[in-house]
Amino acid sequence: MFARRVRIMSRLVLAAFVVLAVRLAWLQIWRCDEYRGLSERNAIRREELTAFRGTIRDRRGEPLAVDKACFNLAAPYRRLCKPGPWRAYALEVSRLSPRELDANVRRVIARVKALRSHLARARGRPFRPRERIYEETIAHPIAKDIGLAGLARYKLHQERYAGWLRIQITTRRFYPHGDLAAQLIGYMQQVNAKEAKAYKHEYDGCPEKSYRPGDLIGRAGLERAYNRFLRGQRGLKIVSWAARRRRKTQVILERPPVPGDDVYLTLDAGVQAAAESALGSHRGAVVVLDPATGQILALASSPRYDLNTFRKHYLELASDKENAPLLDRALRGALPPGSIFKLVTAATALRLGKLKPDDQFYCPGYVRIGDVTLGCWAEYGHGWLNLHEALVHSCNVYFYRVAGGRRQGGGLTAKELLDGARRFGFGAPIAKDIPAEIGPRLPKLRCRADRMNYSCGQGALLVTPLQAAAMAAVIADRGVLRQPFLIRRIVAADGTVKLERSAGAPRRVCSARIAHILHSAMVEVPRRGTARGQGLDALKVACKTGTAQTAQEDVNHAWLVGYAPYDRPRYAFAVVCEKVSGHGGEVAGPVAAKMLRDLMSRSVAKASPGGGGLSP
Amino acid sequence: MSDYAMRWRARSLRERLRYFDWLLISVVGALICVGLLFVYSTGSRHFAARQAMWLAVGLAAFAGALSVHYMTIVKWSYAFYAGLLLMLLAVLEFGPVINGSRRWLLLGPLRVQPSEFMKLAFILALSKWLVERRDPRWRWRSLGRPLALALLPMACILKQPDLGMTCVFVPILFAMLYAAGAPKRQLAALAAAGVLAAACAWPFLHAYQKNRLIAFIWPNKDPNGAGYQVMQSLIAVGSGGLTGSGWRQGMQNLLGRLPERHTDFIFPVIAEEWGFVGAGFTLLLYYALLRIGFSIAERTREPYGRYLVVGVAALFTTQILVNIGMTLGLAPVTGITLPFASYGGSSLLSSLLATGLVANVAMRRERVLTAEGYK
Repeated sequence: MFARRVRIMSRLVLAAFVVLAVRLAWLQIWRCDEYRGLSERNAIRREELTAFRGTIRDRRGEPLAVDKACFNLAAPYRRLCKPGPWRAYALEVSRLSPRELDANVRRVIARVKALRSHLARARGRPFRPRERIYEETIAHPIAKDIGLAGLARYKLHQERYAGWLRIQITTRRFYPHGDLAAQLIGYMQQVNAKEAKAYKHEYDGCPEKSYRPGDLIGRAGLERAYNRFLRGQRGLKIVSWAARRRRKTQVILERPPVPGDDVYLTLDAGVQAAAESALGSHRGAVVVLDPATGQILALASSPRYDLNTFRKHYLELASDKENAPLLDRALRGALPPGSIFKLVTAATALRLGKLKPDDQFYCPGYVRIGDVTLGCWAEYGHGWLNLHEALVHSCNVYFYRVAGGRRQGGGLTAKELLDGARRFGFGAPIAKDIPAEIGPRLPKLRCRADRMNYSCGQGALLVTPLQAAAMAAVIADRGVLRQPFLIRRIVAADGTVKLERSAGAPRRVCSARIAHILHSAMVEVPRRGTARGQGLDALKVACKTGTAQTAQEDVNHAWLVGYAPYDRPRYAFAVVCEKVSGHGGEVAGPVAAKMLRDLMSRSVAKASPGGGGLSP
Repeated sequence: MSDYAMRWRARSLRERLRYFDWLLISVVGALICVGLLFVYSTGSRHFAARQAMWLAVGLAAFAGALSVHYMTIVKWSYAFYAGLLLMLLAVLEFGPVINGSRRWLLLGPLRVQPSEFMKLAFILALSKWLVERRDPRWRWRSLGRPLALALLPMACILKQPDLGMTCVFVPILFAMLYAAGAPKRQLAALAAAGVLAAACAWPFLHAYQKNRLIAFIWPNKDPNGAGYQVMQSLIAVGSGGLTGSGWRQGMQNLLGRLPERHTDFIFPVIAEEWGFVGAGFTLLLYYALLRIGFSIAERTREPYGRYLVVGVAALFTTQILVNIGMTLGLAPVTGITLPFASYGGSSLLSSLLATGLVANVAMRRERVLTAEGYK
């Protein structure tokens, strides 16, 4: 049995080898000439086709970052290495100054040479003189984005330029709004060596998305966070020149490129523009949310920069430590909240039954605990106050008493205070779809003075403007926190919807009764409280001011959180101006007023305001 | 095992030398020379030097595999198998990602590919199981153990992912079961079950995995540009003609148009530079290697040895046929190396070890009295 079966296998192997030998003879003897011809003419060309990167759009489909086709003037590398008419031609077509052109050419040559020596080092032996690396065989752009006029100039004398210059059609990232939401959109850079190596064969499980040196990868903001969606898939074209005698090329394989997915944000370009113009020259941030759904309508951070000219100014921007324009303050600017945090303290105490709205405390202007004296901002005190008045006038002593009790051992415990903050979304990033967002940790409350300080938003507590806006949205939405989110839809090029979201997950933070108590106080703030006289009253704003002290005398962070209109809230917002000399209402108040005036006039002009539908 | 061990009477050194298969060694030697020549020809002195270094290691391993009685090796086969399985798991955990998959373990300066050695451990373990199974009859459930022996490493290797290496296990399993006398309907059922399982797994795969498999089965459909490789390979082979362009003179080779030309696509380089004469000669050498293997299996009486030899012969057959078939456009493009010729330390080492085992079986010629032996 065994021997017989082994013999059968052996015969099968013989048959297989006969097939191989016949095939070999067929290829090498009968079809030899054909293949030899293919070989001699370098007959197969393989081209990779670049894909359009996906567009980042606002809620109405308005593009914020879009890939634009552009014409580059390119020259074959071997031409660039030697002087020749190409230089005069290139100057003619591109209209660059000779200096700029020479600089571009030098940059190309330097890059290719560096690559060649790098490759030689990587494989451990030098190249033979006739050996060419891929980059030495192709054309490189020497003048980018020459525009339609440049293309026309090229076409005019096409025959003369043939062989010296050519036009490459590529893509360029274009930002129609310039500096709108600059930090949020982020930017792209060439992949670094490490990434290029890691993604040489695959990116995101897909070989067509693999990275080659020189490709761009999202480096910050949404370009980075949603790179895997935005990045399309490269196409491939294999062309054979076999039938050259008949002046024909034959396409062996063509796989078209797949454009990247479009990312639709909940952001409203109009609201964002209003927020940014209201911020003006202040260093700070404005966040606007739709309280009913949790959609983020604006994330403004100032100072800003123009994304279109960003590359030129990158070094300046990155080295400006004082203003840090690259920092997205709306998501990552963590600051002490000051008095706006009293809303959280009040809600926590009310929820736990440790405070009743009519409880009265006496404010003499300071509180002394041991040898520490904590002051109220009103030097001579507010006298007797209930909760409503304490919020309207932002009395510190009242909340010291709420958190620290009338005497040692009373008030709220550290755990209760911290849990209260966590319910409002503090202590962790709140929007789960923006990886850039930070959520500073809550501080440790070691003693009674810590708790008292914390109750008024001072001390080691830090919050971001987005978290502060979410807190305002809780009160606007009667005690319910809708998780803020920014990504509304992700739509693939073929129209399939990869992700869709219209409202954030709701979570009850406090009862509607408590929210109403806070609401009625916040309505009074612009009328006769800490934000009076800023024009907020006329806009039907409910708000709370905050003035967070810094280590420097008379330098504060000015906060204003609130929502408008207070009878049917459409916008919940947080405004913060960093390191200013006035207090919250004085500095942040006018910013909020300007923005809301803008928004209200817009919503009169347009039928559907912030909550409107999506019309791409 | 124990009763066999009692009856062993080792052959004397003279007898062993007389039975030593010199032909096998010369064929393998010729193939290694061809391999070294063409690894050098692909343009890299560096690779040729490394290959020569591995050859030294491989020859030592070959001598080692000869000096120990193969029964001793078989005795430890389950331990080898378990150890290599652990290494495969370690690869999945700690292996560096190279060309998109984890296949290697870094041992100091060396990169070792455990899956290359797993093939041998699998052959050893399966031959041990085939001889020592309690119930000599072939029932349906007696397929369970060999199947498990094959599927465990296959799953690990598929996860790397290395589809080509995974598939190598299948013909080995079938050949050894077939040689051991498994009924044909069982083998047919096994094959059918395999196809069915593959079909059932299809919807659970990722899109890119499907693409790879499509490329694997129909390279010309080509979601990954594998058609380009085949095209270049065919041009290289075809342009070789009858006598070839001469060593280190091949256009396709020199201009670097052939991807992976020092590893998987070394045969087209031989065909281009030595033409039909040289490529046919190489093909003949490979056929001689397999023919010698099968004839050793046929004349070996001792059951451990014969299964071992059948397994190794099946392993070489698969690798040679799939690799050369792929370069001639007859088989899908997979990362299966050509034994002895392709660049790759682990591949060369495991091929030499396997040859050592076959030569070992051949030169000991254990005398065994079996019913079949009398027939």
